[in-house]
Amino acid sequence: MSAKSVKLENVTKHFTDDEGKTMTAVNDVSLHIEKGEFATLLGPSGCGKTTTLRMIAGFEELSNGVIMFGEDNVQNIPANKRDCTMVFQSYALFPHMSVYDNICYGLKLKKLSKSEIEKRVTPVMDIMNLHVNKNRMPNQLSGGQQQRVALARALVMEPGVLLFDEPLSNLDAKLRITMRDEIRRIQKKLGITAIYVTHDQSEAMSLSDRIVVMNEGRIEQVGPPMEIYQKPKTKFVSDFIGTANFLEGVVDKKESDRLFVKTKQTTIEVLQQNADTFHEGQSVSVVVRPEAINLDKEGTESAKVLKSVFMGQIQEYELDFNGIQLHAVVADPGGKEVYYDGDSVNLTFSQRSLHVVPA
Amino acid sequence: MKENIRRLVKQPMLLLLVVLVMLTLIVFIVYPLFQIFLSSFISNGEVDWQGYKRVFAGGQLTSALTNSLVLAVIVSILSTAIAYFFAYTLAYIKVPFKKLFNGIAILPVISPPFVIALSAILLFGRGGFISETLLGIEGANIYGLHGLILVQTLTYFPVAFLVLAGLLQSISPSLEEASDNLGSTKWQTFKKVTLPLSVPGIGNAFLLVFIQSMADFGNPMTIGGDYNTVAREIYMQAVGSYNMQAGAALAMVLLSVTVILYVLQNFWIGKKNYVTVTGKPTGVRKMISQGMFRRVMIAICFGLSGTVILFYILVPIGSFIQLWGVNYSFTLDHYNYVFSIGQKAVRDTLRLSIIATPIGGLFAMILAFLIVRKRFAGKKLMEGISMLSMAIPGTVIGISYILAFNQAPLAITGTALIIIAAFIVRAMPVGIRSGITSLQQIDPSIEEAATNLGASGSKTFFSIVLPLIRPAFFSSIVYTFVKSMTAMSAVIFLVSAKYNLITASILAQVESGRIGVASAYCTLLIILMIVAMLILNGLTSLFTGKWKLRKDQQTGAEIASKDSVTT
Repeated sequence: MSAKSVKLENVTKHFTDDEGKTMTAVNDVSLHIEKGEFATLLGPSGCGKTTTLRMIAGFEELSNGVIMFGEDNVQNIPANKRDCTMVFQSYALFPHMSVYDNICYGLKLKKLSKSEIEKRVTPVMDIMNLHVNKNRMPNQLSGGQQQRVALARALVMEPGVLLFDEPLSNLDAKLRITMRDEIRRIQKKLGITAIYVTHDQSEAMSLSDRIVVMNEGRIEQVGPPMEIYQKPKTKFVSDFIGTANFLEGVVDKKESDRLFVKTKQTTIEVLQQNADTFHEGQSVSVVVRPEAINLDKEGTESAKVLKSVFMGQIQEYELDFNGIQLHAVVADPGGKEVYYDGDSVNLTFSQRSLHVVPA
Repeated sequence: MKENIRRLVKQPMLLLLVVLVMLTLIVFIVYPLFQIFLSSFISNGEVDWQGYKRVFAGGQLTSALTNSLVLAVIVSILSTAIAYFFAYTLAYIKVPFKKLFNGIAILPVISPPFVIALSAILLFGRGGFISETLLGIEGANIYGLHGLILVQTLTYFPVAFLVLAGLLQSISPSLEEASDNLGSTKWQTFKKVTLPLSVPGIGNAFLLVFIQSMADFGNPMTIGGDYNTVAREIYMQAVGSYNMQAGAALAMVLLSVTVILYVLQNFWIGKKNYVTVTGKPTGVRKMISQGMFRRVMIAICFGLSGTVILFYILVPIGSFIQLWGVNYSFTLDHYNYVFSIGQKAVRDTLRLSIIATPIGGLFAMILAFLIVRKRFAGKKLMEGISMLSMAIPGTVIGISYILAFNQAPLAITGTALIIIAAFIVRAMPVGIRSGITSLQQIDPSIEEAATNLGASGSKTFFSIVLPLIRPAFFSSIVYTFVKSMTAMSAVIFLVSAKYNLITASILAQVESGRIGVASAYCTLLIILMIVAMLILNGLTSLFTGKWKLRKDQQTGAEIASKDSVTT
């Protein structure tokens, strides 16, 4: 199996609907995915992630731009000749073929000998635990098993690039987590380049080496999960990944590694690596993650509890902070003081966890 | 656009296929229709309005038009009323032998176009069994408007029945229960809920019967007598008096009427459908299982069904009778004739139908596939032409083929090719529609998966698509065969000494008054068709038994009969 890198340069896709109106689904996307990397395209529906994946697979023609597998431009390679296989959202198993026939469909097309096919199918069925179901028809399998067959069918081709189009969205929550770990384990073990499309951020977080956050056809940010969460570059990213409170304000003062943001409520000091990209007087938003709000007696700011909900692992609060509503989360509430609706509380923001994005 | 072209260039096979299919459609549908259009304006090489003047001037052609309209209105009303009665009984009342009714509904699809007309002659004609033998009426006359009404109603009410039965069964019982619950009597519920909900279906059934009645050729030829109708008049003008311009003008008028009705049926009524599938499990309707009402309804239904069956078995009986009305002794003479002098027609019909069947079936599937799944320049046009083909009456195809294929560059009149083409074009719409419906239920990513795993376009079609739409494919094959074997309105223009057909022979026998031989032909045709359908259905269940896409797998014939409803 020889994994390949994937490079997208200025990829653009316009669709024209029946009335002749043009819609831009993917807008000037450039992206480089390394050999053996697990990259996830993450975004809300309609952000262009699936279209991007389908262009990589060859199902959609590019309106503009270039896609490269390794050193090769795949522009003129039809979908059935591209060195990538795909796991579909609906699994797309061939309903009239047994599990085994489904898995070796692609190998048969390559005109491999029977023994050769057997040799390649067996280890894949081993990893996917499919031997018992070999002769069953797809509709006799459970959702999880169907998912495995779909993955096995793609893996057995030993593709340079493996594509996933929201493959777990039809599974129940528990199975989704099991399968997600399994996908990651196999991908690492085989060292395949994987491009995964999802709108589920926890899936993206747990699977990816890098996450590509997309919105309205454009890339908002590319980076490892932790960076995306902690250092979002845009308001969209900080809002889409995790939950965020925003305090609107202007940059009051900037130093090499920190910003002082004056909001309506207070002035907040934020440690910010890219402080030099901001200028004084610029309108910004301070991203306050719910867990960055500490409730205690010594806090410097005061707020009022609007709603308090016990969730087991956490206690959730809705706070009124000088006219804006904040969502706060306190972990392990068992050992801490709990506030109730109407209580007045003091709070501080954990400086490390704050982040500034352009408004 | 640019991308569409690039896509086509990248898949040369697809490009070739699109070009071939398009060419076929243009040559065998668009070009002939264009030729009628031209011919309707041209007499002796000059452009004039003579043809249309004759159609509307009040002579023979005008009366054909008004006659057809009058007939269609009466038959549509009667058929729809009877069909509604039948459908309501089946949907709301516990009826024994339900299968029987569905069997009767399939009969007009598989039967040759004039079985009922033949029976009507045997029963009510001069020397008819009922008219003369039982009632002693000398020289009874079944020929004419009343005969046509009887025969067309019996032939076409099953078509309306299929539409209405489907509709009534899909009305959620909870709606009626809600009405009952709010205090309505049964009659009020029917009047205020059930009937309004079935209005779109009634309209649909009415228009379908109307179109079929307008386009009917076989019955008017057999039993029309002096009552002249459009389809028959087109034939008379074209073949009888060789006035192509008048024939073409009349054909244009007929085509316009059927196309308008077809558009009306599809776009106006189609949008007014109140019955929605919610996906929520609705309760099972509580059937009326006793009472006077039930007994009366069942009695009427059985009476009508019995009449239909009587009409159908009369023909086989008639085929063994020496001379109906005069000499009721048993004879095999008619069959001797069919198997000696008439053998050629049987062989030609079978041979041409067998050639047309796989080609037609496959062509319809390919066309449906292109329309549903592929994007290419000209797709809208292709879709439009195949939609249009559903609305073209057989007679119009017939006259247009003579006009188009009599001279170079496409002089194929008198060949097998032209008959096969007519068979396929006539049967194709049903196949295309069932293919489209079937494909729309299949997740397109299944085909993408095949492509993704390395299958070429044709490999994907044959290894994935065709197996998945097998029920539609088989129904298309069954329908093409049945339609070809019983074809008359189009091919009557195209038969020659070289290729004769059973239906044309039957017509010739009827015209010369030899009802016995006609009956023997008809019987043979029915037997051939039953055998063929049994074989094809056996194949269908053999190939589709392994896995089931639909919950209740239907046989090819059943699907074909349902599909044919809207043509």
